[in-house]
Amino acid sequence: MFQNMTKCYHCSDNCSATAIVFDEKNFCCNGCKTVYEIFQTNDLTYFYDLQSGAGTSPREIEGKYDFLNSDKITQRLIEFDDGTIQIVNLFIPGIHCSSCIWILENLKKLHPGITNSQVDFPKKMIRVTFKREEVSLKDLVVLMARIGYEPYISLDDYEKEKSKTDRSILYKLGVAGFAFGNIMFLSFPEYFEVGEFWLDQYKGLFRWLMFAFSLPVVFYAGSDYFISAYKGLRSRLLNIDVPIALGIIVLFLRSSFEITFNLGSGFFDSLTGLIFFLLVGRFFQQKTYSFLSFERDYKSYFPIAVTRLNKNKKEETVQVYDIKRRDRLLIRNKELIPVDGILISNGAQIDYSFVTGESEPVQKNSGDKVFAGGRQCYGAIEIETLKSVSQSYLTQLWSNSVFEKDKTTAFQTLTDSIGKRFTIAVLTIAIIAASIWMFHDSSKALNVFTAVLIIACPCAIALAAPFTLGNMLRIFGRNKFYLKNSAVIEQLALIDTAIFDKTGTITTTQSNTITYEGMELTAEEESLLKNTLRASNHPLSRSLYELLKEHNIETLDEYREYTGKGVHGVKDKSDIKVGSADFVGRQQLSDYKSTAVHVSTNDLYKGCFVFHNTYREGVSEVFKNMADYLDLAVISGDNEGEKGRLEKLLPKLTPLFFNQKPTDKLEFIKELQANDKKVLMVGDGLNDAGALAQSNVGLAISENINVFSPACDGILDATKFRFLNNYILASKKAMNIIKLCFVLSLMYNVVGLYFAITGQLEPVIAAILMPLSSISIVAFATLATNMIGKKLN
Amino acid sequence: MSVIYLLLAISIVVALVFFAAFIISVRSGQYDDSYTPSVRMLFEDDVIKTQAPKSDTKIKKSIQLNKKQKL
Repeated sequence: MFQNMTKCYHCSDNCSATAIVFDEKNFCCNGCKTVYEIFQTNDLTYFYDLQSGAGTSPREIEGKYDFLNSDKITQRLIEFDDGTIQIVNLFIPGIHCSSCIWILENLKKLHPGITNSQVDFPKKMIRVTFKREEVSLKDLVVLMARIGYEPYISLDDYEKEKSKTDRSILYKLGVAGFAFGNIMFLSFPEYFEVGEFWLDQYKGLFRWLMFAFSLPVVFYAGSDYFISAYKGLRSRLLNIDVPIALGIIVLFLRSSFEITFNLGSGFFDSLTGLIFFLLVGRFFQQKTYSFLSFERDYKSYFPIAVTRLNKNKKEETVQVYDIKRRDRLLIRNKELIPVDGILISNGAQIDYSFVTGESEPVQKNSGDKVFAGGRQCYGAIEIETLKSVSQSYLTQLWSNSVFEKDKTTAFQTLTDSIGKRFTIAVLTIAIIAASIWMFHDSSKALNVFTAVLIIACPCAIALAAPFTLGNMLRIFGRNKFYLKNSAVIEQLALIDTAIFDKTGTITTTQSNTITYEGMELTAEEESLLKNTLRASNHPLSRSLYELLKEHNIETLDEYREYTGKGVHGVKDKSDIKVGSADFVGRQQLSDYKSTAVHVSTNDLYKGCFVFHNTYREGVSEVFKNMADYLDLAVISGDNEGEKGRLEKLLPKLTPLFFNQKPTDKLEFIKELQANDKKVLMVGDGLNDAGALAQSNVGLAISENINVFSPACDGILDATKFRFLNNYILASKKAMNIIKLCFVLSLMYNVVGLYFAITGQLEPVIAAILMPLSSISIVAFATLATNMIGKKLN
Repeated sequence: MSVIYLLLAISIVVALVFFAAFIISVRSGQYDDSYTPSVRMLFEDDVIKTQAPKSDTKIKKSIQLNKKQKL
């Protein structure tokens, strides 16, 4: 398949016929060779020993980071600055292996101005300390880009307040674990009720020490449960934290009461154990993919600054928020248009795939309107702005109220809905048991009442969901299905409708299927075509060039590129035109809505290459399986060109919608939800952002999870698309596991309640029963989810 | 037997010292990144390719093991 299987020594990509040989090693491009040279001259070739071919080929960055010359912008990015030393945190999506860590932590060898650099691998961040006098932030960024580790700096970094990491869960866990251990230790003598004289003598001291240890646990480590229960009660909801908080209060009050009046040793061990286990569950559930962001909006996509041409036609850097109406901007190749405007120069090729979902770049000429979010694909253009950033067509989507809503708060979890019935049941049992004891032995009534509340404290129930879902989240993560939090699994198990975007979601952006229609080309003509295409940088030319068979490289006698129309090549008196229909002189209009490249030789029309979308592997299978239990639909911003092929591919009567704007998609989902549908939206770009936010579960498909995905609840690696159905089914199974855990823990509760109601609840029974039930639930949940995980693929 | 007061005091002080150590380590950010240090400790300082070919294979092996944990 490949003409040459030599791998690049630096980035391990396949070298084409044009491999560069340097120092007896093959390189795929000059960029890779340069990086190797840099490493070699600085004695950093250990990079290649750690992991071969781990490098990334550097990209063209000419002028891209000029905005870092502006003090106003760098000040926002730099974290610490004392006049001589500066510290900056940069996000580098390219970090992927141990070689990367090593080379980035040895940056100081590449530039004497850098004093220290430290990589945070899970977050893909690097923290660089450097001397302001010797190296500027721009030099630093350019240096990293030159060795293939280009930092990703977006408008988001400019706005972001320096956030502090929240470590309170670790502190709370530490406090609870510390107190739990010490209290267990101190209450040990009481478990055996040894009547030893000296132990009896110091009982009081031991008990008051336990009391002291339990104070920070109840009032600091357990404070979240009180707050959550209070919030629940205020909004008239009996969530699972209500019986937990009730259990904690009763445990603490009764224990304090018992030791004050020397009635017993209290339940301080169970109390601290309970809070400790609950916090462990919460900690486990909190699996975060710190290198992914689920909250991205257009800001993490937009540049911080662009080039403005001032009155004297001089280039200057301007922060995007400072762009005013009627400013003239210079948009370079591969740069993003930050505001709506009017095109001044001719022949722009603008890729709107992020905004509208259209797959191919569109041709725009002087005087045409261009919209924010488009990416210029070919050469540099000038535009005159019509609006400011916040008023542009794309950015206005974010003023929709759907982006302010927090989905998780509105959703009642399974645990909480159980919690309501559970609380009512426990209170009823406690009251009935207490009133029966009132007649028998009124002195024990209060004792029984509190014992019921203590033993029925739903520790095991509260642990079932965190451990099941937390473990499921990790299993999904290993299968490249990254969810924002564990509540998404619950939501995913409940969906009954799935809506798919087309471009980039069920089609791949990596390759096109190209078919040729028309008169066959002779060998000479094909050779001429290939040689003509070689010189062109247009994306369509590039993919067509890759498709054609290898031909000898010949120099053309004449070559001209007509921007936005096509290319014209002459060799030995035969000439060829490749490009749009009118450029090659085709008279009749094409009935194709798909993208096509037309070819004519010596002014004779030959035929055209039609570009079709390539559908992802397993699309039709995924749809077929999902159609069994879900309502499906495809909603696309693209035109109807692919309708016929889609209909063949998908189950019969799958509704297909074309030419849908971002807001149409959002409204479509809103309407479904108004009809009580639980909607899963699968999309990929900014154009789906509204729909993803509105849906019950919004999943983004991503070819490269490091690059960009809009705000969503989960990110699915594109290579795993065919397993989507399995993932949904696995979430359903996970919910069944939680239900089984509930049954199991209720059985423990029945045993405990027997002791409580009969008035025999000793601290030692509580101290055994509570951890035992919790541990068996945790073990069951973990084992069962691992079983599901094994069957995933 | 009043020595028990002293013993208790000592045991609690020891426990508190460890607790304080834990708090300090969390505060200094040791638990923020639990992966990178495990890779970093395997790098050798100032390795120049020609001088340390032997140790390289060893490192490679252990790095490869770590690769599995890669996210």
